[in-house]
Amino acid sequence: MNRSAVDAKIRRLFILILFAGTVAMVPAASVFASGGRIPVYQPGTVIQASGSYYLTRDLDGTALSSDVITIQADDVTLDLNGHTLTAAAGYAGVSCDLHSNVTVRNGSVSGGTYGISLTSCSSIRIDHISASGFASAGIYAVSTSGNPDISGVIEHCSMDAGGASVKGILVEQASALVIRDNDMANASGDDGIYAYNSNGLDIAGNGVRGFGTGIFVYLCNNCRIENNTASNNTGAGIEFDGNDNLVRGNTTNANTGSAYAGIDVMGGGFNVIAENTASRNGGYGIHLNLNGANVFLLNRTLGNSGGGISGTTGNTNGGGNQ
Amino acid sequence: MTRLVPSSLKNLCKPVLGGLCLGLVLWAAPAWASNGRIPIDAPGTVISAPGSYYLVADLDAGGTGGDAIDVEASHVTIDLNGHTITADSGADGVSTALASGPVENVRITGGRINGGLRGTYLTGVTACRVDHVTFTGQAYYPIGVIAPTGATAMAQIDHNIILASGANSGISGSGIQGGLMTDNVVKGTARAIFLNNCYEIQIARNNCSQNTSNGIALVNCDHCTLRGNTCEGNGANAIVLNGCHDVMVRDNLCSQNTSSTGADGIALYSSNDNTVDWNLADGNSTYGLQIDSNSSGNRYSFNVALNNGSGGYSIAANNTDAGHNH
Repeated sequence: MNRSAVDAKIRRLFILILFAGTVAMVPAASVFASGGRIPVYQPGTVIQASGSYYLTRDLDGTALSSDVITIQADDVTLDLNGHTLTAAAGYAGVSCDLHSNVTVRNGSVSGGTYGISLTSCSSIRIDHISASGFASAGIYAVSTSGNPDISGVIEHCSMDAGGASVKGILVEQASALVIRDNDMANASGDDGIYAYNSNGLDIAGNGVRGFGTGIFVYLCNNCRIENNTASNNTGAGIEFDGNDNLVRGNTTNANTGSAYAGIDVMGGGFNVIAENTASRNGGYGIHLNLNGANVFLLNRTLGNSGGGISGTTGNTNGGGNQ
Repeated sequence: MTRLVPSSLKNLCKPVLGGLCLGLVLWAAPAWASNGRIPIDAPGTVISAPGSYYLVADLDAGGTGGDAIDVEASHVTIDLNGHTITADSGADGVSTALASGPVENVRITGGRINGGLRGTYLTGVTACRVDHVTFTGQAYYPIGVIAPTGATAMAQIDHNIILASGANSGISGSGIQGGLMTDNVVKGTARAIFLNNCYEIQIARNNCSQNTSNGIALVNCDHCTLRGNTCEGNGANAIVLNGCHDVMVRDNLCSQNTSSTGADGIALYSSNDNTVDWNLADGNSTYGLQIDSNSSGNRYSFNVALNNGSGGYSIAANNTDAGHNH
């Protein structure tokens, strides 16, 4: 064997050794690179301690009889790190019951009953989550009597209902909760955003298309429903029932239900409906409940099949409606 | 190294050295991956040099009697990195109080601070930002910003969640000139936002609900904007200006604020030349909008006041109904 052949062999050997070393070092490097965060790499993980967690890969939980990730501690940040959780039917991508200060962000959840399921959790932060393929709701945040209200922020999330009759975001018994800048589409029915029995919600800047009702707010008081776009739903754009709510600056277009309206006030009173645009809806542009002591002003209704504004008796026209 | 290696062997080892370099890069990955940031892994850390710092673990300062992190330098960013600081009950989470002089450009972001007297106590700062932090359980206030003596501070407080039973104020500021306080959720404090002697602040899109006193209180503040805030279910006036001048109060929802001693949707005391328009004041225990007799030159229009206990409007003379109030 000549010298060059020996050199080549040694080179290959060194390269092989170094390559092997490189592979072995990756996990350690990943841990360091994550800044002390705790990696999550197995479906069925149960988080039982406070901390900052992150996914290292997609997790397929379709073979599990549990949620893909279960949070059982306060003060948890779960960064999906751009990865996808896939849940089995009947379960959720991420679930948390009765804990506070929980953040889930930055990734996708697919399948399951719920993308993310939070029960009686306060001070939540859900952001930049894409949910699809869920059987009931993309984000489910519900509290029950005697437990802390749902509070915090759900923002910058997207829901693809996959043509099913499902809810995008479902909220019950919440207070001081902000639902902001989310986008959801592609259902065959049900509600894009559903809020029930809650106070002090800010539902703002959301886009809802292709559901039954775009935004459905029932028995909720002191809420702000503002600057949302609800269009091309088969029922109403926005329906609500409650007191002291501000419904302002929303756009409801081409919601096709003839028995509904662009904005439909079902009940309650002392609400303000202002500066909304309702056009080309199947029923009225805006429908008010009779004798609701609501104030409506500066709304614009165009080309709605049922007419512009109805149910004005017992409500106050603040002027400027077109 | 080059000088000690014969040329023939050097040629042979080129790939080896290249590989070693690669190996060193990988071993050095912590610093590279964190972009040169400096890790913090223990409570009681004192930051005495500018830089970008980040937590690599939860910090529990409980029982230490000291702050979890003291900042004594300017130009410091602390990324909580999704982690939680638990502060000692007699101290603060992050504090600049021990700095020998004014501190400039401090940012705290991205995690949680539980407990303590104050969550972030930024006193003597001239510019700061606190964002994307969740606060719970502070005894005094979760976020405090105090300008240096004889100077002013710029502050940006945004996208925080504050759920702090018993705290005096969720966000407390003094001597701030120029800044944003936006997109925060503040629940369960006394006053959600309290500013004293501040100027040119935009306070927008905050949800200040179910606090035991005011939603937003400004004392001796000028040239500020309060816009698009939700203040519901508080135990005193939802929005109150006292001794303020040239403040715009617009697009706010002030509903169901109640107190046995009276709570207005919006109240102006001893305040002049402010603008109050496009607000909804609904279901408060006294008035929707009250402007007292020590105030003058205020204009209000396009407000809606419904179902308030004492009536929609109580406006002293020398203030102007600019129309379209309901």
